[in-house]
Amino acid sequence: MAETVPTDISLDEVCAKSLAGDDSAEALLFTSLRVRFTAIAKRRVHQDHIEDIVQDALQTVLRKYKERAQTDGILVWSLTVLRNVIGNYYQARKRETERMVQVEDWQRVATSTTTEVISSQLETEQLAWQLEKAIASLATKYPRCGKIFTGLLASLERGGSSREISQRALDFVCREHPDLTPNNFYVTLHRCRAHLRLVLAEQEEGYRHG
Amino acid sequence: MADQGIDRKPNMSDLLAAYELGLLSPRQRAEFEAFLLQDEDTQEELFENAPFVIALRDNPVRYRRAAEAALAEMEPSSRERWLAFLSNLMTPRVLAPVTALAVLIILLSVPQQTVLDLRKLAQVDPVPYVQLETRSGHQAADQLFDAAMAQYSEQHYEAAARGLQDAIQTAEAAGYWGLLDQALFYRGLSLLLAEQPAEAIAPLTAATRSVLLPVAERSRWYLAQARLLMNEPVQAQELLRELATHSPVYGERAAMQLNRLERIVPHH
Repeated sequence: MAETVPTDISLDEVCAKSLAGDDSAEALLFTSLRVRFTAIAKRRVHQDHIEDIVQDALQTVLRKYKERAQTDGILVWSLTVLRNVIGNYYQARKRETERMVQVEDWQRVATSTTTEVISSQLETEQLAWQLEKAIASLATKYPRCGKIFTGLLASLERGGSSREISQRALDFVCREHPDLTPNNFYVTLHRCRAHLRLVLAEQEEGYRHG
Repeated sequence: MADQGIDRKPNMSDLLAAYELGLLSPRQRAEFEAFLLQDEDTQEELFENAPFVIALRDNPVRYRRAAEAALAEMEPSSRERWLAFLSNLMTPRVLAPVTALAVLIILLSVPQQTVLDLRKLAQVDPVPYVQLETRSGHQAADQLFDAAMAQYSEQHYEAAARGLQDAIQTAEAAGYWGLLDQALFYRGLSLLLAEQPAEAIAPLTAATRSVLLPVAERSRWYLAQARLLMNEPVQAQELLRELATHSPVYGERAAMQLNRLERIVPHH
């Protein structure tokens, strides 16, 4: 059955209302997320598992979204939850084949648990390092993009409303390009993002081929 | 940078980066989200990039520094600027006094600049820690470890360092403690994050001998950062060279930092 989702109010605004205790806003938020999650899951998992995956991801979002430090970006954050759930789905299938491994003693259990935790932390660190390297490479290949990201990140560091962050970043870029308008800034930023994605893809390719 | 001057309304898909980074107004966000429902490819792109966006927004300082360092590398160094300046003054009449003055300035400025630049090179970012119930052969030490790591997660690094020291001392009597290497590493890192690099050296050095490879490698990396903060380039170079050669996780990062370091301090 097709579900209707709100299109005249942003998910961040719906989320803010939900956090303030508005139950209908919470229902609206999760209806909207369900529609988006389902569309994404359809491309990745077997038809029989879509509903379970989406349900699992929505439950995790429901459990954790009130603890988020940031007040915006609910959709992007929710998508990372869905990514993890889909990742776990594939991991679980892989583990099914590895169940025969015997554990010899308690010490081995402790060591393997420790190693698993460290590995998951290393994954986060690896992603951060991958991104750090890509941004450095972007700045070298496309110095304008490097400068735009520098201004933008400095502005994100200072925090504030979306308008304040955006205006500070634009002001920074306008020191070198005084004619740049907000819309053109967004387009330029989008091109820089595309370059960054390309750099990340090249890095990924490099890792795959050793 | 094309399209300057005229404020054309962009295509919806061009607003993706601005949306991800939270730059759009509430109305623009609502419009963009409505557009996503119609355009599965853009929604896919948002999904694929989501972990990187979260990383960027969680720690903008780290990535700004990376961009700034790369941009700075492309600019001529202060030494190159001085040489260019001097070559512009290469007329016999002014050459001798200007050169003498320049040499004096360089001699006076070099040591201070090295300290400053080495500190700027150091990358001290907190390692994320996932709090789990831990059982590693010594209950009292485990509890102290968990309490200290809760402080670490709350970014109370001095308290975390003290708590981890208590955990280490408590476990010493037991002989074997499964979390000893991790405790040493996080104590060293906490001290670094609390801006006490000299105190971080001992625990990090001990943790470099861990049989757990991830702990040993991480400890080497942060020990190198501590050495940089203490203006000890030779020791930092040694650690970075080892990581650059052998570490699959820190190898490239270490090689890049080593390269930057050797631009400031001659190779030993």
